[in-house]
Amino acid sequence: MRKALSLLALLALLAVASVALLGGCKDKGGDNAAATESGEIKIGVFLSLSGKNADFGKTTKNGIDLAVEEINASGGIGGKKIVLVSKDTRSKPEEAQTVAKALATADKVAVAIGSVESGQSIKAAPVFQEAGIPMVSPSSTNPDVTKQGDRIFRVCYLDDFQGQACAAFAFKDLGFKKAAIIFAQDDDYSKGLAEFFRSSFKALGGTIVEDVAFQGEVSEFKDQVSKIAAANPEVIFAPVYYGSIGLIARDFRKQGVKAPLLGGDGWESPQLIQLAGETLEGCYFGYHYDPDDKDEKVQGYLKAYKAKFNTEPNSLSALGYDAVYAIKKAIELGGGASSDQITEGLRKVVDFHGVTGTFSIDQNRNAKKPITMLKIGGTNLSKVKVIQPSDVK
Amino acid sequence: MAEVSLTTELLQYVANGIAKGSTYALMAVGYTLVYGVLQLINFAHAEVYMLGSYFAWFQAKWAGYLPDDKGARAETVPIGMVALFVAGAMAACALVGMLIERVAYRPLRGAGRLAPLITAIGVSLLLQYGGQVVFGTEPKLFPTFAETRVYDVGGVKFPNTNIYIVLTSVVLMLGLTLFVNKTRPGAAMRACSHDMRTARLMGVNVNATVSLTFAIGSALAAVAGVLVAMDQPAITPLMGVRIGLKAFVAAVVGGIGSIPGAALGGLLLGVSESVVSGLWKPVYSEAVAFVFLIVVLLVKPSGILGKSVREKV
Amino acid sequence: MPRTIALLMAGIVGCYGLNWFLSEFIEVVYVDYLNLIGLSIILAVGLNVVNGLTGQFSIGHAGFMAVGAFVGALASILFTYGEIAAGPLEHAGLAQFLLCLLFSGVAAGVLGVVVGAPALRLRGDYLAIATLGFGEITRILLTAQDSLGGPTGLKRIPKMPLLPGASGWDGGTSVFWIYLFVFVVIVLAVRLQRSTFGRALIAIRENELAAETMGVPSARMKVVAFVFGAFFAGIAGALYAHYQHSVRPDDFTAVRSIEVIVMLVLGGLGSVTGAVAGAVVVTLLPQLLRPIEEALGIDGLSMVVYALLLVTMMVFRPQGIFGQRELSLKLLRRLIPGRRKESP
Repeated sequence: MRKALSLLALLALLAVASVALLGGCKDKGGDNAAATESGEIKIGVFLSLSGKNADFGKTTKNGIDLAVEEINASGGIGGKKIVLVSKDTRSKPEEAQTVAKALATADKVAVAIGSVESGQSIKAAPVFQEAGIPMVSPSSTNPDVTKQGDRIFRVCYLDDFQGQACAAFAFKDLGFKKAAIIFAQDDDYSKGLAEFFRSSFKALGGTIVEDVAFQGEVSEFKDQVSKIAAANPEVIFAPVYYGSIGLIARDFRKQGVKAPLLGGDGWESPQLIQLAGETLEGCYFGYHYDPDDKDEKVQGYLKAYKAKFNTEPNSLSALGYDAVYAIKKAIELGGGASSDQITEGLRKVVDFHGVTGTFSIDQNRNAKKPITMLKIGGTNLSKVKVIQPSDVK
Repeated sequence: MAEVSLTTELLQYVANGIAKGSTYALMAVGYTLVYGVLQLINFAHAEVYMLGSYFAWFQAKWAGYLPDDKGARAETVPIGMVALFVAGAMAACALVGMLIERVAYRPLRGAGRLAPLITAIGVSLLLQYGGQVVFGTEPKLFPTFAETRVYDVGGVKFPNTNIYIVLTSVVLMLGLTLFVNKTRPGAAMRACSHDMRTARLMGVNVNATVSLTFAIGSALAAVAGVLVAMDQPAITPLMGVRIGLKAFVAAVVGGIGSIPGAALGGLLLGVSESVVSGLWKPVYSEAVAFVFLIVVLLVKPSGILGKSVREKV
Repeated sequence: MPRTIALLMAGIVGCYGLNWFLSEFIEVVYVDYLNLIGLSIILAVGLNVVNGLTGQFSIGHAGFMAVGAFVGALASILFTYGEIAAGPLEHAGLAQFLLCLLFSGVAAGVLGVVVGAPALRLRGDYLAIATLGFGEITRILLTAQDSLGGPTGLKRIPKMPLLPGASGWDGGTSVFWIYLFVFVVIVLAVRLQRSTFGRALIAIRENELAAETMGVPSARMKVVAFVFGAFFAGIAGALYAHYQHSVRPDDFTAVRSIEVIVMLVLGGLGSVTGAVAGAVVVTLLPQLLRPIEEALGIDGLSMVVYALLLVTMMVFRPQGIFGQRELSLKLLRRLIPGRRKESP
């Protein structure tokens, strides 16, 4: 028994010692309202900057950095400069919760931006909700994200709208009646889009001739492709990320399947055409804006991004960029930069003109915005159709 | 397209599975060789495979086959250059394999079996995370080495890449079997795997033999890395994780320590995954490997072609 | 028996004190580190009975944790809200919470029997690979369950029950609940180790055939050890679910199982102290290394350093931090090696 007791003594010792070492004593006086009085607005950012999804986080971070730089260069928001506190979630949902706690309690941010992966946003949401800090997800499209609390917002469209829009586009505009679906079973983005496309395409009167999933970090899709090839569809819905779509398209063409592929915003990347080669010629995907849009906001953003990072932006960069500007708008609407004022302000965002379209935040704290269907031809993307939220259902 | 008969469909999945299984087999050999000699699960093997792809990628880049402009398409690499790249990747990976053994495993020889297992995990993590820092996290386009052609035999489609994969694997496996069974270094490897201490008493240079084992296994992993990358031309620092686990399972199923076992295990796993995908649900194919594994282990714990060892007090 | 009750009371009081101290004076983020450490300790000490004491190499621990997490979370959600639906988080009731933990432990324990009885016929690395396979199958099947939320898993898992006098983050009770089970698992593991039963387990580790000859029913005892580990993994899973308020199948990959093994070997396989030390190091290190990468601006650097440290520590101290020794008052006083010799 002495052993057990000494062990526990050690444990308590370790606990106290490590905390003392970390210097983690509670700062009793500070709440985030006080922090904002100092002429700075602290925005917390949690994204996957390393690990398997690091590319998502880094490109989003670029968009955020660009927006913050622009805002600060033009004098900040109401004279206050934005300070970013950025944390790496290492592509792990559970780490998202740990870093969210750090942002909410140690760094005392006024508002948080994150994450791309819905899984991480869902893990972090209860933390910010508990701390009374608004959280804006730039690109978590899973419907559950904003259901986690009344301070959880997003600036992207949802899986349900995107899936419905793709189904309507395939059925009505392209006139396809037989579709096949290939999606990632363990990825909420992919699975969600597949689900809504499936139900919507069927409701319109089409048939899903084959519906196959894959699981895990798969890089070859021979079997899934064989299965779809045997069903002979007119169009293939592939709601996956750009890293996979090139490989999927190559496997389709290798087995002689010529049907066009159709996907969501996850396809977009400067590398899309390169990774897919000519296999995506004539395929379509839904996106946030038209890269050839004459709109000065879009063109200005594209130019500034290229100048700063020497590469083309992707959809995630644009959403990160818009998240910052939406917060700026919210601070102006809410009348201040405290967490409560920003939350109030975010609820009032209407007809916000961003790079990713003009959107409003609805009563469920989701962005209502149009989707632009793009067609791949050569190395170019061309606009085919813009679908408004009111066009479906 | 005409109606596809069930037989044709089944044959298509078997064909897919053989191509997939060949790469598993090439990787499985690396696990099996090391396990045979050191009784060590070399977790870092999967990362050597990843490095193999990257070494070939860098050579292609320096040789100018990859465009700098992200919008442009990669050129096709002539077959002679491909051979050169593969040779370069094999040499580099062999060195990496030997270095890993020297630094992370050799100091722990005789320190039980768990400590080297943990260093193996550590090296594996190091290469994964290090790869992300050094190579970047975005997928890199791998050049193709031939125009994709699809051969159609009675409705079953064989892309030429699959044929190259299978042929290369078969040649390498046969070569390795000959090497192990017919040459003096091969005999030394077999001696070490039977009993390292006795082998040392018989004058076998154990350290050199272990290094050789790692060199060969790693070089084969490099080949697998290049073959797979040519078929699926987007490489990332984490590309080894999944295939590594599969290949290890294949090695255990076939009978760890046995080269024909690794080949058999790889093919069985590849084919059964494909057939399950085709006739049932692709999503269950990931679980197939493990169900297969558990069933084989329960029926014959030492694997299909493994030797069963009687335990003595 | 009275001693046991006294010990339990002492544990409850001690954990309450720790909980009060931490939630009163310490930043939430550091309390979070301590809670994560606590969860790791429960996992590691439980697995130590299987891997360290009995010498059965299992790397499927995440599978048991997953089952415990999902069972406990689902039960708690149904008890607290009556349905799976969106809404604000609430605290679980005390009785319901304890019942959920029991469910989790039992579910994982039963699975331990189902998996353990056949699998434990296997030896060494083969057992390791079979358990790894089991863990992965569990995760893949969970991902496919749409009723359990599919890949995003269960959300809106209630907060842990309120305590009288406690306040703070999430009610300020997580430390109490997590460390109460840390206490319980450590006391049980230490007692087990020193009991006849524990000696029999060690005999199996040292030489199974010889142990069998001496009349140790090795097959049955291995299963019991396995169930002990699984039971506490299930509890850890349920605590984790209530702590994070959501669980995903992806939280329980093979990587997590391997992490627990790393804790054990790093701390010293077969030593409860070692398991605790390993859990502390493996959980804390990746967090403490964060400032390095944030200062240098190289994303992902901290994990590279972590991996490097892991290899270095193992190369220079292959027997682990504590070897098979335990920390005892005697050791503290004289810093001499423990009674048992290192096995080769």
